[in-house]
Amino acid sequence: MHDVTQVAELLRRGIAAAKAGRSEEARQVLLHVTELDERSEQAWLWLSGVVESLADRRVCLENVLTINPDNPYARKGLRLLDQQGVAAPAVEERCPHCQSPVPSSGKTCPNCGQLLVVACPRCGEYVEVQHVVCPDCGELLGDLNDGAHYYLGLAQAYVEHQRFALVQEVIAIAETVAPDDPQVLQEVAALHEKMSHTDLAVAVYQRAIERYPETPVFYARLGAIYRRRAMPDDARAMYERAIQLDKDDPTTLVDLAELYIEEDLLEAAYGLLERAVSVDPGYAKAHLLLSDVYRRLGKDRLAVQHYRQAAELAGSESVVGRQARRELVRLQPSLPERHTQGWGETLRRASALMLPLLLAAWVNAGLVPWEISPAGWVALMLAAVGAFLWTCAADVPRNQMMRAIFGEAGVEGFWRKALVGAPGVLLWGVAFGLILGRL
Amino acid sequence: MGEIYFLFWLLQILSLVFLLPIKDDRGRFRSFPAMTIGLVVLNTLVHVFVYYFLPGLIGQDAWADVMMQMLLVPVDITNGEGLGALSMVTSAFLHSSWMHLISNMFILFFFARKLEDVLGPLKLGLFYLTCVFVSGVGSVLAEMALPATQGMVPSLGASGAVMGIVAAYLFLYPTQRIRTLPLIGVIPIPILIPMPAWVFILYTVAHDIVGAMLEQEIQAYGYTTLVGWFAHLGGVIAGLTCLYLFLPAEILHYRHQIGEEV
Repeated sequence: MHDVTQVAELLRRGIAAAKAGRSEEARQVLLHVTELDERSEQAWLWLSGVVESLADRRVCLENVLTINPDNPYARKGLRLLDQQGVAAPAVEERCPHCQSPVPSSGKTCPNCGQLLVVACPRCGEYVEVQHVVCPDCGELLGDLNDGAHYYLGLAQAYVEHQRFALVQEVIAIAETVAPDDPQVLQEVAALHEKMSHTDLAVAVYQRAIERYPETPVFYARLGAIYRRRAMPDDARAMYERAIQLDKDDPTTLVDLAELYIEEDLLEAAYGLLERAVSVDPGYAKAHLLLSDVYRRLGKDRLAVQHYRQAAELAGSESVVGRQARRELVRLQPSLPERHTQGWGETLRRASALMLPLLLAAWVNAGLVPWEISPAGWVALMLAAVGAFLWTCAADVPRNQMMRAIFGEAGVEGFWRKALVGAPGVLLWGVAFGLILGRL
Repeated sequence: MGEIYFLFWLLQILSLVFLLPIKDDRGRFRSFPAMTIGLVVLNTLVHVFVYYFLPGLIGQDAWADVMMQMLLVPVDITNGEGLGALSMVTSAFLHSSWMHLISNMFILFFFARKLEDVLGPLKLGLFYLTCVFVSGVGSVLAEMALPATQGMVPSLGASGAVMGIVAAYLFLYPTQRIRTLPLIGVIPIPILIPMPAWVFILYTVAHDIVGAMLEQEIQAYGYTTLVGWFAHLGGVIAGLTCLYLFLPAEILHYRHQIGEEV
C-alpha cells in the first residue's frame, strides 16, 4: 500500500513541473502518480496537458470523466478533441492461447479456434478468459493456465447455476485440451451423469476403459449406471472387473453386494460385505446390508449387532440410520403369550374402556362415589361386561376364557370377532348413554 | 402482595413467547389420521354452528340458556345440577373465540396424529374422552376450593384434553426433537427452534403451574385470570397416567425404544 502523503507530494511535483513547462519530467511524475493511485482526478487532468499525442490526451480526459463526470475542464477538452476529430488509440488485442492478434469483439480466436471469452456462470456476462474473477459479479472463474480443469470447473459451475446450455461447449473444449487425461475423462463422465445424459456418460466411460483398462473406477461407475438402467448382468460384470482390479474398494464391494442381495445370492453378498466392513469399519451402509444378509440367513443376533453399528455410525438424520433403527425395533423378541394374552392384560385393556364411564358416573354423582345411583351401578355393570367382550374381540383374543370357548385360536376371524365384539360395543354404548343421560 | 407481583410478571414472561410446534422427526405409519382430523373438524363445526347458526335458529335468549347448560360450571357438578358429566363433554367442544379454537386445534393436530399411530383411531377417541373427564374433574375440584369464585365461573375449551394428548406424547417420546416456531403475541419470529419434547412440555406445564398459583393468590382478592389452568394440569395428569391403560402390551414394554423408531 502506497503512502498517501508520498502520492500528494509527487502530484504536487508533477503539477509544478507542468506549470514550469518541463513536460517530460511532468509526464513521468504524473504517470507514476496514476500508477500509485489510478483514481487521482488531478493527476489525469494535468497529465492530459503534457502527453505527446492527442489520442493519449483523449484517454486522460476520458479517465478524468470516469472519476468525476462533472469535471468542466475534461468536458471542454474532450469537446475540443471531438471538433478536431481525434479518436482514442486502438489497442491491439492478442489471443491468450496462441498470441495472434484478434478482433476486440470476437468470441473465438480465428487462428486457433479457442475461446476468447466465457459466460460468467453467475451473472451470465461475457468475460475475457484471462480473468480469474468475473469483473461484474466477483464470481471465481478459475485460472486459464489450469488447462482442461479450468473448463471442467466452469462446466461444474454452469451446472450448479443451471446454465445447462453452456455446459456441453466447455466440456468439449476440456476433452480437446486433454483428450487422454483419465481424471478429465472421469470428471467429464460425472458431469454427463449429473445432467442425466447417461448415454454420453456411458460413451465416455467406455472410451476411458479402452484407454485405461486397468483403472477400476471406470468399471465401477459404468456398473452403477448399468444398475440404474436395470441391466443387472452388465452391472455385475463391470463391478466384478472393478473388484478384480481393486479388491479393497468398499464402495464397489457394497454396490456389488447390493446387487447380489437383489438376486438372492446371499452367500456371495456376505463375503463382499464382510470384506467391506473389515476394510472400512466406519461404513454404515456396509453394516446395514450385512445385517440384512444375517437376518435373511436367520442369524438375528449378528443382525442386531450390525444394525446397532449402522445406526450409531449413520446418525439419526440419514436414511441408513433410520432404516437400521426401524429394523432394530422389528427384531425385538415378541413378548411371551402370558403377558399379551393373560388375565392381567385383559383387565388392563378393559379398564381403559371403563375409565371414561367410571369418571362420568362419578361426576354425575357430584364427585361423591357412594352417591352413584342404583341405575348408575347397573349401567356400570353393563359397561363392564361390554368392555370385557370388546377387549376380548379387539385386544386380547386368546385369553383363557376365549380359548376355552373357541379353542386355541381364540377370537380369530371376522365372524367370531363380530359375535363377541358387537354385543360388547353395544352394551358399552348403551351403558355410556345411560350414564350421560342420567337415566 | 409481593408474591402476586412476582407470579404475575413470571406469567407475563412465560406468556410473551408462545412456542408453536411445527415439525418433529417422527415419520407416520398410518396414511390418514381419521380420528385426529375428525376431532378437529368436529370442534370447528361445533364452533361455527354454535356461534353463527344457533342464535338465529333459537333466538338470543334461548341461545344464552343453552350455552349455560353446555358450559362446565363446577358448582353445578358438585350439586348434581345441570347436565352433569355431559356438560364436561359439551364444554370441551366449545371455544370462546377463533383464536382459542385455532390454537387448541393446532396443538391437537400436531400431537394427536402421532398418538393415533400407536393407539389407533378408536382408542385415541376414547383416550381423548378420558382426558376430557379427568381435566374436567381437576378443574371442578380446584375451582371449588378457590375462595372467590367458589366454583361459580363456567369454563369451556378443549385445552384440558389437548394437554392430555401432549402429555401422552411426552410419555411415549420424551426425547423426540420438536421444531417450534416462536410467536410473540400473534407475530411469528421466522426461526425454528428445535428442542426435546420434554423441554417443550416442561415449558407448557411450568406456564400452567405459575398460572394456577397466580389464580389461587388473586382469588383471595376477588379476581380471576379466566384461564382454566387447573383443567390444563388435570389434562397433563390424565395424559401421563391413563395412557398406561390404553397402550398395547408390546408398546408399553418397548416404550423406551419406540422413541428411536422413525
